[in-house]
Amino acid sequence: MTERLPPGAWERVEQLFAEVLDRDPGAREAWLASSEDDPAIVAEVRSLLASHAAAGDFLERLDPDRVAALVQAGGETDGVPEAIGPYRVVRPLARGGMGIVYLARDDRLDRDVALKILPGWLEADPTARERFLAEARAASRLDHPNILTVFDVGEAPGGGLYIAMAYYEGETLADRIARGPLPVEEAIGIARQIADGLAAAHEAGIVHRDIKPANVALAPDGRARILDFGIAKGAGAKTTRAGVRLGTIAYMSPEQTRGGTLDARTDVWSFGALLYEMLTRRRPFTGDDDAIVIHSIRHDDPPALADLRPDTPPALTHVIARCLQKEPADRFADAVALREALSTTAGAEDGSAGPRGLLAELKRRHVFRVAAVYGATAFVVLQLADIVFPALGLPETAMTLVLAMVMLGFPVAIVLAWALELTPQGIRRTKAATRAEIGEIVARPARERWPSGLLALFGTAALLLAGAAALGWIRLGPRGGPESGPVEVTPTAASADPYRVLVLPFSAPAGDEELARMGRDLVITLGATLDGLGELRTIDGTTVAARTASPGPSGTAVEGEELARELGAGRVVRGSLVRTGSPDDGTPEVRAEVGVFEAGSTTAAVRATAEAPAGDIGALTDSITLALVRELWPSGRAPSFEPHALTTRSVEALRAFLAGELATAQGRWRDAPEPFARAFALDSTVWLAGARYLDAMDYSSRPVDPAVREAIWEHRDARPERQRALMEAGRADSLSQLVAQMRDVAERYPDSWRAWFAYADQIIHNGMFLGETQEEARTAIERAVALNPTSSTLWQHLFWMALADRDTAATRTAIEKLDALGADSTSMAEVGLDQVRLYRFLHGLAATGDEPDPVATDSLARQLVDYEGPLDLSRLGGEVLAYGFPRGETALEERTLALPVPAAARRGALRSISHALAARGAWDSALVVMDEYVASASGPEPLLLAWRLAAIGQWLGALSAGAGEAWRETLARGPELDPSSRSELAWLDGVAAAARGDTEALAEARSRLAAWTASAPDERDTVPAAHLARSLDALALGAAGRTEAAADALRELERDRAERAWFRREGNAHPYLTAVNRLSAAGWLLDAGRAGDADPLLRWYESVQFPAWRASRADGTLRASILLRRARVADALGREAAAREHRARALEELDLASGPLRAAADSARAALGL
Amino acid sequence: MESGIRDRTTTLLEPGAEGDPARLDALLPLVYEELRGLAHRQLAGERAGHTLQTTALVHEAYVRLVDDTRVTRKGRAYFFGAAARAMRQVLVDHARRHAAKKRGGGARPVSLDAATLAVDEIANELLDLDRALDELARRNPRHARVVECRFFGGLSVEETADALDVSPRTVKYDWALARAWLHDSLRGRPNGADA
Repeated sequence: MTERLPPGAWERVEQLFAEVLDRDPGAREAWLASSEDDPAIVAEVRSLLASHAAAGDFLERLDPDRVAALVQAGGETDGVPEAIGPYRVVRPLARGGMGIVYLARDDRLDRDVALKILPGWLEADPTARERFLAEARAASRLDHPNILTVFDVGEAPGGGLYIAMAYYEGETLADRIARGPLPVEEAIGIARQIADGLAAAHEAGIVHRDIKPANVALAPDGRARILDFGIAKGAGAKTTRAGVRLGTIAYMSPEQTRGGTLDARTDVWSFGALLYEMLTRRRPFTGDDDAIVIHSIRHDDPPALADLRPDTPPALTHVIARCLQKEPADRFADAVALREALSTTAGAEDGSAGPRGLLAELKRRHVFRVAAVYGATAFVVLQLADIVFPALGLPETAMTLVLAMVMLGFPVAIVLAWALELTPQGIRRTKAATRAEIGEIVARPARERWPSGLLALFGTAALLLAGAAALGWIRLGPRGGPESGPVEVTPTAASADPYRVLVLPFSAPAGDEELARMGRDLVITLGATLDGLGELRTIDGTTVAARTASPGPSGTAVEGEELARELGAGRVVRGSLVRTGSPDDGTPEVRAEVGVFEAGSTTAAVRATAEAPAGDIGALTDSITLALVRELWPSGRAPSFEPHALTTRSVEALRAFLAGELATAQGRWRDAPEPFARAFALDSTVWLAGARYLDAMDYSSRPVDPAVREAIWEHRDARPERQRALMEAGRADSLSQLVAQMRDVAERYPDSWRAWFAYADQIIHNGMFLGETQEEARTAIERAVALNPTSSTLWQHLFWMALADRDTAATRTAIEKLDALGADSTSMAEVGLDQVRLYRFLHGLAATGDEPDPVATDSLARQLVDYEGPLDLSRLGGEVLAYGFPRGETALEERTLALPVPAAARRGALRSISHALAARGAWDSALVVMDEYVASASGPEPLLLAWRLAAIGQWLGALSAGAGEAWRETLARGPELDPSSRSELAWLDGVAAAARGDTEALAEARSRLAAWTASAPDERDTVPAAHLARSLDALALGAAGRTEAAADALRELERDRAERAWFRREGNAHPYLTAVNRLSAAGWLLDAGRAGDADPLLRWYESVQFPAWRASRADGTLRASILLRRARVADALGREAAAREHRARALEELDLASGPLRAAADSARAALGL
Repeated sequence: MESGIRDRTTTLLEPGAEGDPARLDALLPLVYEELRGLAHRQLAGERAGHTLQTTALVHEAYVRLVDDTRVTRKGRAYFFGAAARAMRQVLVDHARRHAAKKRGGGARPVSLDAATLAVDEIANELLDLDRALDELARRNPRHARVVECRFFGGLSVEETADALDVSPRTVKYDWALARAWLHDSLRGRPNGADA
C-alpha cells in the first residue's frame, strides 16, 4: 500500500487528495493524470479516491445495539478473563482508578500473583505506553523487603498492559487506619518500614509520587510493603504535573497540586501526611471540596498533633512537621534522611521529656535495680547493726550514724547508677581527627569526660560503697556486658558473633553520585580500619560491596539484615552521608551519621557523628573510626588504635586502591595491577595495595620483579590480619602444605571471598593431583561465588567444576551469570575472545551427551577462525577434548577445516582431530590423520608429537608394536633436539619398549636418561630428567614382575611431582607422564588388592588447568581408559553407582573403539547390562 | 458524585487552560471513568438487546462532569474531543476483555453461538479499527483524532472542528481521507484500484 511511498510523501498525498476532492468526480482522473508528482504519490491518491468512493457509510455510525451488546458482554460484571498473558486468573481482588487487580496464578512457577490490568486511557498514546513500561520495569528492579515485588510487566497478547506482582494476604494501611488510630509504637514500626522501602527507591532514583495508606500493604506478620511503585509516575508524569489525577488528593504535596516539578521530597510530604493519619486517624488537610483541600495543603498548618494525640513523642512530632513543610527545601532531602531521623526518633524517645521517657530511661540505667539492691542491703545492714552493735557494746550514736549514712547513701547510689550509664548510648559529635589525636583520645580515660559535679558525687559514693563492700554485703548491679572489648551490647541472634561486624554502604542523598560512591567505599575503608580493633572483626569489605551492589542484571542486592544473618555478623554498622558547609570558612564538608545496630534490631546501640572535608575518604574513615571507638569503649579500655594498612592521607592513592579492589572483585585481573601500582606509588604506606598488586599480577600470569615481591612480603605486618594470613598461606614448601594453609585461612575468615577463592583455586588446579576430591573443590568455589557473585572469574571456575560433574543446571546458571555480567568481564575478553561462546558449546555437549549442535559448532568455529588477537588459538584446540567431549572436538575441528583458515589453524585442527579419534578408540585412524598433520608441518616438534601418540598407543595396547616407527626414524636422523625434548624422547622410547617387553631397549633408554640426569638443569619449565628416569625405573621394575614395588615407586614419584606444584609447566612438556605413571600404578595396586590407594591416584584428570597449556595436554586421548580403570577401582571399593557412572561415560567416549579397546568397551557394556 | 471531580474537570476547560499541553492527559482518566460508569449504569439489570448511544453518553458525561456556566464554547468542544477519545478506549477495552475472556488472553474471539457471534464481530472490528487508527496516527495524528470525534464521539463536523481547533473544511478533508484510508486498510482496496 503506502509502504512504497518515499519518506515525507504522505503530506503531499494529503494535499493532492484535498485538491482532487474539490473537483468534479468526472474531472478528477484527468486532473490526476496531469499531475507532475511522483507516480507513486499519484497512485496512492488514486487508490484512496477509489476507496473513498467505495466506502459508502463506512464508519458513519456506531451501531448502538452492537455497542450495548459489547458493553454487556465485556462488562466487568461477568468480565473476568480466564487468563491474561501467561497468568491464569483466579478472581478479582480490587478495582481502583489505576485499574483492576486480579488474583492470578503463574503455573510455570507455581505461584500466586496479584495481576494489575491498567486502564485503557493509559494506552491512548504510544509514548505514554512506552513511558509506562519503562518506568514499571525500572520499578521492578527495586528489590526490597518493604516494596511489593514486581515480577513482570508486559502486554497481554490480546492487548492491555499488565503488571504481575507478588501476592500476599493481608490488608492495606487504609483498612488498618479505618479500624482506629494506631498505637505509637506500631505506627513508628510501620513508618520505619515504609521509610526503608522509600529510601531504597530514592537511592535508585525512583520517586513514588502516590504514597498513601491505600498504597501500603500490611502482612499478618507485620511486614509493610509499598505498592504501585513506578506506576503512578509512569502512568502520568503529565497527569500529575497538571495537578489532576484520579483518586484522592489528600496526600499530594503543595508542589504536586501546582503541577510543579516533583522529586523525592514529594514522597517525604506524603509520608508525613500518612504518618499523621496513622496517629490521628484523620488526614492533615481536609475539606468538603477538592479546591478547599488544595488550598489547605498549600496554606494551612495541620491541626496540632499534641491536641489530637497527646502521647506522640515530641521527636516524632518534629519529624512529621518537617515532612509537612510547604517548601520542599525545608523537608528532609529524601527518605534516606527521613529514615535516619526516624531511627534517631526512637533513641530520643527514651530520653524525651514526659513521664514515659523518664521511666524508660530510669529503667534502662538500672536505677530501679540499684534502688532495690540498696534498699534490701540497707535493711540487712540495719538489722545486723541492731543485733551486733549492742553485743559489741557500741554506743547508740553509732547506730544513728549508720542510719544517717544509709539514708544519705541512697540518693548517692541512685545518682551514681544514672551517671555510670552516661556514656555508651549518648549521642556525640566528633570532628575529623588526626592520627595523633586519635591516639591521645583513646589513651585518655573515659572518666575525664564525665561532668565534674558527678565526679564529686562519685567520690562520696565510692567511700560509702567501699564501706559496704568491706562488710561484704552490697553487690551493686554492674553495667552489663563482657569485661573487655565493646561493652554495652549483648548479642541477640544465637549464632551471630557479637564481635563480627558488618559495615553496610552508607546512604547518600538521591542523585549525589560522589557521596554515594563515598558511601560504598566506606564499606572497604571502614571495614579495614575497624578490623582487628580489640576483638572486632569486620566482614570482608569486597564481599559486602559485591553483595550489596545495586541490583544489576544479576540481581544480587541483598538486605543488610539478611547479609548479617548469612555471614554471622552480630552487629551492623549503618550510616548516612550529607553535605554540610563548614561554618567558619565555608569549605564543603561531609557529615556522616553512623549507628551500630545489633543484628535484628532497628534501634542503634551506639550512634556517632563524624565530619571530614568533602572527597577525603581517608579523613572521613579516620574520623568515623575514632567516633566509633569513643562510643564503643567508654571507659579507657579501648584497644590501641593505629590506623594502618588502608587509611592513607593520600586520597588519590585510596581512590586508585579502591579502583583496583573493584577490578579484582569483578574478575578483571588485567585491569587491576595498574591502579594498585599507582596507589603504591602515590603513598608507599599503602602496603595492602602492594599485596593486591602481586595477586593481580600472578593471576594474570605476568612476571613480577623478585625484589618488589620481596619488599612487599617484608611489609606484611603493615596489612590487616586476614591479608597477612592469606599472604603467608601463599608461601609454602609443598602443595599439600599450601592447600592446608589456604583451607585454614578460608575457615578462619569465612566471609572473605578472596580466602575461599584462593583455596578453591588451589584445589581446582592442583589439589586433584594430591587426591583432593571434586566435591571439595566445588564446595569451596560455591562458597566464594555466594560471597561475591559479581566476579566473572569465580563463575568461570564454578562452570568448570559443574562441567566436570556434568551438572548442566549449574553450567546453565553460570553461563547466565557470565552473560549478565557482560562479555567484557570474562577473562578471555581481555584478549578479545568471547569465552562464553565456548562455554555454551561445552554446556550443550554436556546436556546432550557429546552430541554437538551444528549451529553452535559453526558459531564457535567461526569465532576461532576469525580471531585476531594475541592468543595462539591453535593451542586452544584440544580444550573440548580435555573436558571429555571427543565428538564435540571432532565436529568443531572438522567445521574449522571447512572454513578458509590459515595453515597453522589447519595443522592445529588436524592434530586435535587425531587426538579426538584416539580418545574415541580409533587409534589407527588417529595415526592416519596424524600423518597428514606431520606432512603439513615441518621441524622436529610435529614428529615428536606424532611419535608421542604412537608410543602411548602401543603402551595402551591400542596400537601394534612398531606403529609410528617411521616418525621415530626421521626424528633420529633429524637435527639435534633441545634437552627437554631429548629427555622426553628417551622416556617415550622406554615406555614403548616396556609395552612390547623389549627389556634391552628399555635399558638403553634408561641409560640415556641417566646420563642426562646429571647434566640437565633442574628448571621450573621442564620436567627434571630425574623424574623421567624414576618413571622408567619403575616401569622396568614392573616389567620384571615386581609390580607392587613399581606401583609404590610411581606413587612416590607422583607425590613428589604434585608437591612441587609445577604441573602447569610439566604438563605442557610431557603430557603423558602423569597418565602413564598413575594408570600403571593404579592397575598394579588394584591387582595387589589396594584399591583404596589406587583411588586418589586417578582423580587428577578432573582438575582444571589453564587453557594455554591444557591445549597440548593430550591426556584427553586416555580419558576413557582412565574412566574404565576408575570403574574397576570403584568395583573393588563397592561403589556401584560410581562404577556405573564411570563406565557409562567411558562408553559415551569410546564410540569408535577397535581392537583391545573394543573388547574393554564390550566388557564395560556387559557390566552395565547393556 | 464527588464534587471535586466536577470541579477539577471544569477547571481544565476554563479559559486560560488551553495552553496546557497536558490537558488531554489530565482529562482522559476523568472522562474515561465517567463514561465507563455511565455505560454500565445504563445497562445495569438490562437484558441483551438494549441500545447504547455513544453520542448520548458523551453528552451525559458532559452534564455530569462540567459546570457549564464556567466554560466557553471552546472549552466545551474540547471536552467532547477528549470524551471521544475516552469513548474509544472504553469500547476497545471492552472488546479486549471480551477477547481475553473468550480465549484466555488470545487475540480473536470466535463463537458458534448466534448471540455472542454479533459481539465477537464488533469486538473484532473494534480491535482492528483500533490498530488501524494507531497506524493512521503515525502518518498524521489529526486524522486519527477526527475519526475519534466523528465515529466514537458522534460529533458533527463543526463540533469536531471546535474540539481540534481547526477549520470545518480541514475536518471534512481529513475525514474523507481518513475514512478512505481506513476502508482501504480494513476492507482491502477496491478492485482495480491497485497499481
